[in-house]
Formats: sequence, C-alpha cells, structure tokens
Amino acid sequence: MQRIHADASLKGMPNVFSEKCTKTWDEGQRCLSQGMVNSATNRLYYAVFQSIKGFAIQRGTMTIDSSDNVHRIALQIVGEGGGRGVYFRRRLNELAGLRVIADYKLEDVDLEKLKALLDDADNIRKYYIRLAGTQT
Amino acid sequence: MNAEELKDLVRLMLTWAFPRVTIQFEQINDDPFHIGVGVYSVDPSAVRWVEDKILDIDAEICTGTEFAITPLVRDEATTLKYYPEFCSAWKEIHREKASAAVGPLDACPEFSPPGSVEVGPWTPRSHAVVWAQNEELALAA
Repeated sequence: MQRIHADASLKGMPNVFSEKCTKTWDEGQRCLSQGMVNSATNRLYYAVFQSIKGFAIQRGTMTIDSSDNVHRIALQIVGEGGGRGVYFRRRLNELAGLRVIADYKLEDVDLEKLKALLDDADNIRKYYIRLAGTQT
Repeated sequence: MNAEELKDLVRLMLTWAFPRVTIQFEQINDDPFHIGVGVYSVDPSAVRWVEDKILDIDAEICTGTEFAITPLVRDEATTLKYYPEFCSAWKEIHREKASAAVGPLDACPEFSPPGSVEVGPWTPRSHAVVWAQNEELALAA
C-alpha cells in the first residue's frame, strides 16, 4: 500500500471522522429500527469506512479527497496485524458485500445477515476511532 | 498474479468445493483489483458455507496483495426471482429430464433433490477465523 504523505499536524490527533462516523452509525441504526434495511446497510458500512478513512488520513495512506479504490484499501488496512486483522477484514468484507447488494443489486439485503455483523462492525469502527487518537 | 489469474484460481477453488453453482465475477466500485464473486443458485443451507469459502480464499490469497475478493452469494429463490439468467444450467437440464421421465424426480441417476448439498472435502471454518473469534474483541469498551 502506498503512503501518500504523512500530515504531521494530524499525528496524535483524534480521528477526523470521529464525529461524522458516529452520526452515520446512528443514522444506520435509525434506518434499521424503521425496517429500511438497504439504507441501514449503506449507513452502517459507511460509518465503519469513515472511521478507517480517518485513521488512514492520519497515517498518510489516504487524503480527505481520496475516492479511488478506497474500499479495497480499507480492507487492506483492517487486514494488517495478524489474527485480529484477519478477522476484521473478513467481517468488513462481509459488510462490504451487503453494501454492494444494498446500493447496486436487485434484491434486498438479508436482515439477519446484517444483524449478525453489527457488533463486529461497531467494534471495528470504535477501534479505528480510538487508534487514530493514539497513533503517532 | 494478475486479475485473470486470480479469477481462474477462485473459480477453480470454488468449483472444486461447489461444483453445481454458477460463478460470475464483477468489478466493485470501478476498482480493477476489487473483485466481486457472484455465486448463484446456491442451496439455502449452503449459502453460509459458500460465503465462508470465498472469505477464506480472500484471506489466504489476497491478504498482502493489492487484490480483494468480496462474496455476493444468492440462494436459488433469489436467483430465480432476480437473476434467472444465472439459474444453474445443470439443474435446469435435469429438471427437464425429470419432468419428462416416467419415474420420480430422484430416480434420475445424477440428480440431487432440493435440500441436498454437495460441498466437497472443504472444511468450512479456517483455523485463523476460529482463533480470531476466540480472541477478545471488546476493543472499544
């Protein structure tokens, strides 16, 4: 993975997407409670993605304007670091597949599949929010 | 490894484990290195296994490379309703044979009745995943 640039001003700072990704997660939960499973999938995925992007910005592997190939890069980022990373990549990959179905495919997302991913998705999201604040 | 070689490898590994499904590859988000693995007409009881297999392949082959593969697995009902063009040709042929046959459906020698699954010798859960699942994940407490 190519390091774009390391913005020294962001080192040790909180994840720049911290606030927005919390809002996005809450939107996803509201959609889910109202039975809007496709919208929920989109919002919940993007909440996780935003937390990873915030971490990647701080680390210098993405910029705020990055949009090309970012979902694959997010998988690469979470996949780093051994056993936990393997598991995180796997779960994010599952959620990414549901997001593709939600946004681009004919059928609806399977509600039970989405529910089964929620705890891990939230753990990944919070992990990268927290990690960005401690990474130097 | 290039994208075509990866697709060949994924197809080989999937058809070895699940010989009776239709596999289609697609690019995700216009990313040439992110490949969606569409698998159609999967018996409902095997959907989770097929998804796990694709995720296993991603972990084993794509980790540490530029590639990622993402499962897009559809059961028979979803395939029939939304993607009839991807209904398993094998099953269609045998349905036609069976409907023309005098005997019952399962009398057709190569036919597996709905509900049966042929999954080959693949073990559905990798050691890495079991290990990772046993690891504490309460990271954001």
